[in-house]
Amino acid sequence: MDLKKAVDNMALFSSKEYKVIQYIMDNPNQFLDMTIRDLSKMTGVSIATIVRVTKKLGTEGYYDFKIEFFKQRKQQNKINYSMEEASITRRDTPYQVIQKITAIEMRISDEVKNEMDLKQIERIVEYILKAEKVTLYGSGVNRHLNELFSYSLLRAGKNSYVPSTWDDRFLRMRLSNERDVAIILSHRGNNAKYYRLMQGLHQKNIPIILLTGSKESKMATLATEVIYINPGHRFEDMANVIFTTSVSYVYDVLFAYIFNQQYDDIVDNTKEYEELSAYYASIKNENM
Amino acid sequence: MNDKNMFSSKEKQVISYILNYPNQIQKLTCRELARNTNVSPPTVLRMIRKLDIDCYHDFKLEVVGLLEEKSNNTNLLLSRIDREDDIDNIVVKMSLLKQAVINEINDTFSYEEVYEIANIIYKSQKIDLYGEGIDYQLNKMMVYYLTRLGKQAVALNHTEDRVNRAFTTKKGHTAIILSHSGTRKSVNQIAKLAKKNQAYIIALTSQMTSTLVSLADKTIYVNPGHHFDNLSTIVFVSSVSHVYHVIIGVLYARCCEEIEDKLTEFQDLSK
Repeated sequence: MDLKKAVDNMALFSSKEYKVIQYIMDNPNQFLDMTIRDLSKMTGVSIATIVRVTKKLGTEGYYDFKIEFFKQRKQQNKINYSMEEASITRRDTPYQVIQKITAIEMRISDEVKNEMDLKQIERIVEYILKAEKVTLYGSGVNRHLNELFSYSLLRAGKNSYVPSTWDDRFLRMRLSNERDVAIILSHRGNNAKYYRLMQGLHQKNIPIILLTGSKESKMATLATEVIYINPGHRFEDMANVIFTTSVSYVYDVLFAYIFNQQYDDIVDNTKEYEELSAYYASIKNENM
Repeated sequence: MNDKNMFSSKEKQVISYILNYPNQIQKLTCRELARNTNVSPPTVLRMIRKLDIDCYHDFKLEVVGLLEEKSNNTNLLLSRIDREDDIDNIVVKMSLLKQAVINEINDTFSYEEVYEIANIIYKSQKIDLYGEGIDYQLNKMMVYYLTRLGKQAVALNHTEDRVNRAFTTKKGHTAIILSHSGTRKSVNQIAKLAKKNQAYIIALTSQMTSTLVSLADKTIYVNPGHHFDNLSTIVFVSSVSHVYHVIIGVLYARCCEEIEDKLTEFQDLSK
């Protein structure tokens, strides 16, 4: 029994039978809690038609079909598509899109996990923990990813900042000193302005952590540590999902390791932050 | 449970019930299951022993084990980081945590609703995304994706901006409201304003019975995480990111042929 193949082989089923398959494919979670009568009501086909579908799919009846369906879902939820097969096309149903996005996210996380240099993660976390300030540089979607990491760093008690304009970035670079650390996120590592910014940081002996899709890039030559990030290729191949998943995984591991290293301090910090947060959430009128 | 011939008709009644309502079995005691299936508790136990399972408790675990949620929840619980973890453990825990979050969200999706949401966004003239702090950053990323797909979208952060926007929204616009709990007064005010102005409201929240949900046309569940110690920020961000990636994927499948030229143009411009 393979529902996915069944969807591609419409000719094997009558239009009513196909309606049942389509319904199950589109609503697998609801189907798990449905009796044959419920399914018949929802699809507007007879119970006999449903039984016929389950038999055509090689099972002995409705209950047998449900058990097979559970098993298949368990398998499918693991990883269903290779990266090459995961491009989204016009013909994809919402179910197929979700499976493909899931496959991309899980495969990329796995790829980053397997290629991660754990000694390097330890070194980077040491730089961050020693630093007085952590400044995160990046433009466009990279800036938003940096903002998310900066939020976690602030919650962990680290002084971090994400400059948003070029003026702000160069001013921050000028104000930084060797007790700080700079994290730069760049897709291709070939941006002239960031290269100039890195030259300034480099001259001041500021450790530079570069996350980029090209370890051989010009920017990489000035970095203290370089982490490879899969940049994806084209938007059509969900390059943005690939890139953000890849960066998020690295940032999440860095944060989790910082958390582990500073466990007691962070737990204390969190209590204080939560009290403050509860206070300002309770204030209805900002006037004294 | 495949071979039902070895069971009496009363035992089959129990099996049919379990197959029809596998998600409910977790909550039922042996006595309750017997009552719901009109058999006696000894009949339930007899059926269980025929399956080579020692007791009702083990039987429940077996049934629950059929649903992948069991291992998923375990992964979510295991993902707490503490002092004793070394870097190898942390990397593996992060991977399990992310998988668990994605699986959980996939289990709550209604594919028809996801398609409907993508369709509404596709038809919308403007899409406004509301959220404060970290929610705002996640919304900004969504704005970036939507813009690449040729949609007019904007993320609002400051209270004044949000109120002004909700005040001027109208029919044909979509409001995406991202809120951990969906109970904040300021969030509900935005939802009420948007509703009054007939915008289509999509809520992303963890509380499925909040005021926000009652005002929204469609609601998608996101996991808020439990506590900062349990990496709640990572759980929440992964959860919202996955939902946004899926919406973008479905939207892309819907409009890929129309926007092919625009994507090429954008890629040339960015070079």
